[in-house]
Amino acid sequence: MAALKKEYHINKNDFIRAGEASIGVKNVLKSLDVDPSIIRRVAICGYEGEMNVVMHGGTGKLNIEINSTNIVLDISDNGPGMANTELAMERGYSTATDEYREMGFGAGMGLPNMEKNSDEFKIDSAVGKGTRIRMVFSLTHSKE
Amino acid sequence: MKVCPTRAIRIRDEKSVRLLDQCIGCGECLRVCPAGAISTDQPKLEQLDKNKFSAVIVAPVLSSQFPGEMPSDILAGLKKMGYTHIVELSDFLEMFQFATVTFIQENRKNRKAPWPLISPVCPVVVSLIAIRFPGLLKHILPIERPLVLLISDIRNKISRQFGIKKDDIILHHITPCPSKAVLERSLSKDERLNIDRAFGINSVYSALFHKIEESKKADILSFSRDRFDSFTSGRCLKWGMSGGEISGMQIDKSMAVCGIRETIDYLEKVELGMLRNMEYIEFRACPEGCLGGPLTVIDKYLAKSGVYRMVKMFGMGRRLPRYKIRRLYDDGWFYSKTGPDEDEMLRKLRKKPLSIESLQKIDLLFEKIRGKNCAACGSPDCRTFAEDVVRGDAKLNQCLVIRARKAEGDGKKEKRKGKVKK
Ligand SMILES: Nc1ncnc2c1ncn2[C@@H]1O[C@H](COP(=O)(O)OP(=O)(O)O)[C@@H](O)[C@H]1O
Ligand SMILES: [Mg+2]
Repeated sequence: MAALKKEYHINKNDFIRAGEASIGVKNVLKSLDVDPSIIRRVAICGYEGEMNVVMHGGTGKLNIEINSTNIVLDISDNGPGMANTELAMERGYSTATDEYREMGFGAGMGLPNMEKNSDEFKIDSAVGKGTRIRMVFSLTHSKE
Repeated sequence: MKVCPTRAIRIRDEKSVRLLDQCIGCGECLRVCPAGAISTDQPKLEQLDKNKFSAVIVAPVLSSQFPGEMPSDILAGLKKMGYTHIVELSDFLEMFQFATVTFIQENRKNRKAPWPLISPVCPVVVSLIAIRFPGLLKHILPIERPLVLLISDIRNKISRQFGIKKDDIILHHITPCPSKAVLERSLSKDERLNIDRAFGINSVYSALFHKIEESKKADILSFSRDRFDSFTSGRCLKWGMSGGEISGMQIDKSMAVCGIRETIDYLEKVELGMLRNMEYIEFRACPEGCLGGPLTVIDKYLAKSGVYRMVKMFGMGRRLPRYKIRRLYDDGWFYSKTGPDEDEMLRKLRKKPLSIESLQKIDLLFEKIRGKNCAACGSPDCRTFAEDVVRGDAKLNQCLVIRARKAEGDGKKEKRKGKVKK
């Protein structure tokens, strides 16, 4: 079965280019026969994940794999990681600085939104090691 | 070719320019092509049949093209061109604004609408969304745009009101927008059915200019220059400018974006889930709004300055009774009959989706070319060329880089052969 893989790099604190990976992913999906509402969900999750790497994480990458049944979005970074991922997953929980809030980020809804918009969601994080989030979107039987 | 936001232009057989179905009529190519390789085939306005009912539909943006002229003089000039009636869009602009605000207020409470809602007014933006952002089609406000409100049922109305056979009605439209004047298929069904002909402002400009002068001379004698019947509401005159649509609406969180590049940038943002706390976004494909349209004549900043003068003169007052529009709204009169995602014409604009295998082939080919987007092949850039090849619309040897490398390779081989022979 053919699978398409792409990798994008995400740079720490690079707000100017933040979003490029997600836009790239979006454009790949659009040229394929993927339902626009799924593309929408992948785009939202990709962007939230990308922003988290830029704001809280470190240098990281966004990997996407598309086959005939699934889209797998894998976002990882080698930043500070988190001690308590359950806490981080809570709606409204955020450690974003005031500066980030000024810029319109840090509502603490990123991780909950990613979980809500994906069909499978898995987060792995360890202090000092980094964070990895894996999301799966089913192309055959999807949410909504 | 490179400015085309939907990559719809190809040059084949050296010179001939081909437009693909993805053309949305934005007119970016008209702005940049100095050689006139791309031109609009616009019809000429011939003598109008005096025995018929001939109406021309105009929007207030027309008056921006005659800075310093009174709106009534412009309308008089149109009459002198031979039109028996002039249908003016202003009232429908005001009604549209009312309906939009009402719709947003109602949906704000129950949070039903997908935020932000996107203005349905610019036809180029709607087509752009259909091609490049299909996931955002459901964000388009489900209220018909003003021209459609005006035009649906117009023939029946005229025929009833004036007792004229429908075949004896001629309807023209004068517009700054190439998607309306040149690209019929980007019009909605009502527009296609009801407008006999659409002219670019530039194609009737000099004729109209002379008629305005003529009619002004005649008018001095008849003392009728103070007829402020139409075009005289500042809030409607402002529609020709970016921000003009939302400036007359009381929406808490709205913004106006103009120009094709910025429009694309902001649509990308909306698609990534940013701008979710915006309620309404007015997009215009042209810089500064419709008065920056490719078929205008006057410099857009001069035009804008003229509009501001007029707005000061006429004020921003409303003209229509609210309760009447409210009744139409409650009757559902404003709602679009077919959502943009159901419009077959829009659906046809989309390219055929690729298979994963084809996309992989395109990636490989793109890497193999390692070009510099020279566009000598006739496609706008290397990536699009690779896609054209895989789709079977172009041949690999159209690529100069590939041909040069091949020739070099052949040359080396020959040299080597030569050496062996020696
Ligand atoms: N990649 C990451 N590395 C380290 N910490 C993270 C990462 N992603 C999220 N977090 C932590 O989880 C919290 C919640 O994340 P999120 O739900 O996206 O909200 P927000 O980004 O608005 O703060 C963040 O404030 C941060 O403390
Ligand atoms: Mg976040």
